[in-house]
Amino acid sequence: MRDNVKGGALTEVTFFILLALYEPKHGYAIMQFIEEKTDGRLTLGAGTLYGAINSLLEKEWIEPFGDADGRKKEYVITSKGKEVAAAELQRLKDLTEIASGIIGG
Amino acid sequence: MNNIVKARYYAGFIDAQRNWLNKMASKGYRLVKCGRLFYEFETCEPSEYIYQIEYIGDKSKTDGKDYASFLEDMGYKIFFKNVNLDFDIGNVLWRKLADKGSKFADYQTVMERALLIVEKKNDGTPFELHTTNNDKANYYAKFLIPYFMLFLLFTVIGAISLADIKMMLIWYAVALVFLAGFFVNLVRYFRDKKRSGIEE
Repeated sequence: MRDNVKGGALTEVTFFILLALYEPKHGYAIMQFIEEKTDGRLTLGAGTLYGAINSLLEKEWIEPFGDADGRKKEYVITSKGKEVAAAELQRLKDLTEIASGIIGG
Repeated sequence: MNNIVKARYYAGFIDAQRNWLNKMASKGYRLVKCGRLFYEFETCEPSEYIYQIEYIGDKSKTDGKDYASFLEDMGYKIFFKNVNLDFDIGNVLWRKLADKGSKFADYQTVMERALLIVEKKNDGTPFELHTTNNDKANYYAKFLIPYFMLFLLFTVIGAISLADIKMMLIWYAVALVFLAGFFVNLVRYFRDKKRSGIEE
């Protein structure tokens, strides 16, 4: 994952995973959430999702949810993750404002 | 309805192995079991299933299992497969590097399960495990050292067999095949790394 290397921008995949996990979800549900919200434009391979989840767990932007004994592992966003997501939303708002000013619309 | 068993040897070449499994699936054969060289199939609807193969030789046993169970949770069926190269690398390269037998043994268990064959019910959409450019680049990078080591290994074996010109040429040919594998993945790595810089 290449987040926070260039001026704090998140990758689209990272941002979508964070958004998906405002409600606890397991891997497959995250994948479905992203496909649904983007009308299939962004489809996520399971290997890419696995890598992204592990990297977000490491950063403590998300955490395991519930006791996963024998059931599918679920994850949920942390308060740290929510801060990052809020900052990204602000960044995107600023960006759209600048872009609208120039391109129009 | 009898199961069929086929033997195949793919050395380290994962793409060829995946293409073969997908060809079998398109003919209506579904993998039920695989051993070191043998693959057992049962009949299914043609193209009912689709396969991907993932190299996990860089992961520890625990991490490999964790990844496999993640994929199972995604609804895929998983087979662990050896790479069929463990004997060579294990004996020639790693035994010398490992201080104790235990490390060697651990390495062997990892290599026994270095490939994951992943089966998905075919829903008409492409089946890719790695989808972002950056992640694809990282995946290709995992092959660089193993392929280069194999190239070196067979070059050395070739040099040792100098007395027998025919054998030497065979070993050098094998070495070149792995060198080609190295470069293919190197090119893929740089291509996707470059794309990830532009698009992500």
